[in-house]
Amino acid sequence: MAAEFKDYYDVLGVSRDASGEEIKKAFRKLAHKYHPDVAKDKITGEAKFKEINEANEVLSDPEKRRKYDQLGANWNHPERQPAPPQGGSAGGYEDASEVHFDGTGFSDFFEQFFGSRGRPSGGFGRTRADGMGGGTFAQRGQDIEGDILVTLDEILHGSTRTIHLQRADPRTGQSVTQTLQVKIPPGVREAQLIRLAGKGQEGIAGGDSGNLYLRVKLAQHPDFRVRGADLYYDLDLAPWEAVLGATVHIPTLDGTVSLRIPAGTRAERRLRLRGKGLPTSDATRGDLYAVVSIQVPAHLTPEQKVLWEQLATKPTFNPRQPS
Amino acid sequence: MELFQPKPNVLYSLDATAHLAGVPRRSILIYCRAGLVRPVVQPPYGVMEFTEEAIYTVRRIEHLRTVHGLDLAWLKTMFDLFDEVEQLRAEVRFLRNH
Repeated sequence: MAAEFKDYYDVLGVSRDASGEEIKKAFRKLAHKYHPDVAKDKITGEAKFKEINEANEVLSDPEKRRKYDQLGANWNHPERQPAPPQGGSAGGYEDASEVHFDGTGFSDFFEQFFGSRGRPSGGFGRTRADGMGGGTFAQRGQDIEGDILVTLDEILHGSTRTIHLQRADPRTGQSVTQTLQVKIPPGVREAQLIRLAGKGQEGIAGGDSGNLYLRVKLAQHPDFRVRGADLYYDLDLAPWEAVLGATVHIPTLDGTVSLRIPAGTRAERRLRLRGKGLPTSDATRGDLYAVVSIQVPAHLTPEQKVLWEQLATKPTFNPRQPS
Repeated sequence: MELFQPKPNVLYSLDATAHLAGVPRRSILIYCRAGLVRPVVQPPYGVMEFTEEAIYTVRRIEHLRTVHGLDLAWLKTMFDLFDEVEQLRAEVRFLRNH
């Protein structure tokens, strides 16, 4: 099935020579508007966010970006295109990459060139069809593997997703679409497998059907980074807030909370908000870490400049003092 | 419409794992000894129990052995490298978004 080319630069609204920093900023700005966890219009937001997420996945990774740029230049010249990765197929068997997913959060284009369908998946286990000693071997159907995009909100509360699976019927050659509902349980992890038993390719000569495996891919959140069950939030502070202390408001998955910044807080310090992370397997929750980043004003008024100069004339602090 | 409700963190006995992966129990024990599959619990701390990921791994090993003819030593090296690459990718991704 032919995939439609996606102009990821256009999706993020950046130029083709945009720096990594520009891409990151463009993603954050758009994600704040369209991310399903924060968007006001959920339906439009979700569709738009899928595109933004894909664009960011590809363009923020130098290796994927290089591959995409190469692909873009050759898009109208099929003979010069790099071959898409193929599923774990072998001669005589149906190719899992011919399966078309809808509702997983990734486009065909992304799946074909940047998804995990290229990973060798199982599915050739041989089972006896007729019990012991019959001599004829049935063949178990091939497994199908796809990615499913999951947001942090879905990890926290769980969700039900509708997946459309389109593939060719091996007997008739006709395209058949199956609609499945999958409950995403709360607490799933990045790369965790969700197994849909018997929804892979049909077995041969009475063999069991293979499985459909959906591998969880976390959608990049505009505010949080994920490590295990912990979330990290980059907290920008003004120098005086870090020196004198302050109370700031920061977003969490459960709403905005107030955080007291102790006086004398250094850059890179991690302030822990216990239990504000993602759910863990033992029904507890990870933590949210606010990682301090001290920002300096880019422009100063003459009055502010005088005040900073006054500070500089009373040097009781030397950051380069040998220890 | 069919509804699938996968249970996270469900553990399977050796027999159930063998049945779901479509291989004899002995294959799984061999893969465990080769360090390709790890039970979550194992003697002397309890009976062997496996995750969903282990079933997937067993299916993958079977495929790579029977279709591509890879031996267990090759598979061990390959899986170790895959794991390392995945960990590094996750770390790079985490740091890149800083």
